[in-house]
Formats: sequence, C-alpha cells, structure tokens
Amino acid sequence: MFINKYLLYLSKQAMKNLTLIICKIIKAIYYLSIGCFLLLTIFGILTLTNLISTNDGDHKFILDYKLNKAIVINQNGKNYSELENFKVFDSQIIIEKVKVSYNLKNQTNLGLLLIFFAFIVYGTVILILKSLLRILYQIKNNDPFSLSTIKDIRLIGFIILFITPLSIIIDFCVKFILIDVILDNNFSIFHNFVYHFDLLFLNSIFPGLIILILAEVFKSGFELKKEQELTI
Amino acid sequence: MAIIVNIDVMLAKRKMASKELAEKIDITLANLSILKTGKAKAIRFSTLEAICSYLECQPGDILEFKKD
Repeated sequence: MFINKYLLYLSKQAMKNLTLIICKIIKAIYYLSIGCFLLLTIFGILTLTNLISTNDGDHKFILDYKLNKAIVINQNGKNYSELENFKVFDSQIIIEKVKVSYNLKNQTNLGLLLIFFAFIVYGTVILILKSLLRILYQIKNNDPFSLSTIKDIRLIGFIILFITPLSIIIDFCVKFILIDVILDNNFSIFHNFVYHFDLLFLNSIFPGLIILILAEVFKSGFELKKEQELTI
Repeated sequence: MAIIVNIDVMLAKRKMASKELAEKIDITLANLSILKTGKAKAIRFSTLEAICSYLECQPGDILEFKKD
C-alpha cells in the first residue's frame, strides 16, 4: 500500500536521480567486467604459454567408500582435490559433484576450449551491460521509446534466453572433459575464473521471456509516440 | 492517404504566407509543413478550428477525400 503510494507519487526529479544512480552503478559494473575480461585474457595466454605452472609431481587417487569421498593426494601428502558424492556403478565411478582442478599444461586443446567458453560468457555480460547503459542514456535524454531502445531490450532478452541452453552445453562439455583428466589434475587460476563465475544471474529462461515481452510493450509505446508526434 | 489537405490552396486564395499562419494559430512551421505534405496521421479539432477561423473557411475547404 505504502509502496504503491510511493511509486505513484515519485516525482520526476526523483526518478531522474534514481536513473542517474543506476546508471553510475551499471557503469561501474561494466568497467569491472571489462577489467575481468582483460585479466582473463592475460591468464589464458599465460596458461597456454606455460608461464603459469602449478604441476608438482605425481598424484595418488584415493577412494573412501565410508566417507563417500575421493581424495587426490600429491607427493607431500597434502590434500589436493576432493570429489564428493560419487557412486560405483558397474565398476565405473560416477561422480556427481565435481570439485576438481587440473593442469592445463598438457591440455592445450582443453585450454583453448575453456578460453572460448570464457570469452562467450564475459562477452555476453559486457554486451548486456553496454546495451543497458545505452537504454539508460536514452532515458536520461527523455527519449525512452525509441527504436534503439527496443533493439537493445530485444538483444538482452535473446541473450538471456539462449544463454541457458548454452550454459548447459558448456557445463556438460567441461564436466565431460574433466572426468577424462581427473587423475591428472592440478590447480589452475584460469579454471577458477571460468567456473566460479558460472553464468551467475543469466541462468534462466523466464527472465528472457519477460524481457522479450517488455520489448513488445516498448514497441507499442514507440508506435503511440510516433502517432502522437504526427498529430497536429 | 485518401484524405488530402488543401491548406496551400486556401493560403493562395487568401494571399498569405504559411509562416504567418503558423504564427497566428500557434503551431510550428515544421508541423504545418507536415500537415501540408500529408504526412500527418491526425489533426486536432482545436487546430482545425484555429485554421478555419483564421482563414475564414469551412473544414471542407481544407480537407478533401479522394478514393485511392
């Protein structure tokens, strides 16, 4: 009730201030993500050219059935990675929740693939932020119902819609490859970068559909505005 | 559009410039030219009334219907 009243009586100046604040926040996130993108590129190049190497000796792979845990131990006896919730099925080990890292040194193809995925993820984030900034600038210039706004909103909607199947594919690929190199694993900063980001807030189809509907609303708004402008 | 705006003809009959008309009826010259070229999608009754009263004519003198 109160919120309703507040939203109704929010003055034009207050709305403008709100837009400005949101604009600043998104600008900050935008530059941050560009920074991350650059950092990622540097790490990717470094791992591919073997400048970052964390491989230190052979590893033992221990399965603990009682604790339902598998531990990869290196020569010093230090825990390296833990694999939780694995099942033994037809003498094959099925691991449900993988918390692994691996060495990219001997896996150039894998490294390239991961760099490709990472570029897709960060690229889409940067694209979304860029179009969001464009929309906010349009609102600041008192022209929210324009063709460029509709285009930007549609772009965001389609990206969010198609990122979910893409993320599932990436997930599948990465896990599939990881199971292969599981015994030869090692820690890599680069892997952390790709995986812990995990497509964060993008991971849903519903927001995509809602945003696409919003684009249609903006389109009808644009048509109304055009008609209003041509009424003399 | 099947509706043709004949403001040009009326202005010529009254020997007036379109700039003068735009100033008198308080619309911009750009909007008047939109009206004259037939790009306009609608016309307000208030605008029509102002044009008619200033040019001393009927709406039928300004607007004309022709089948496409």
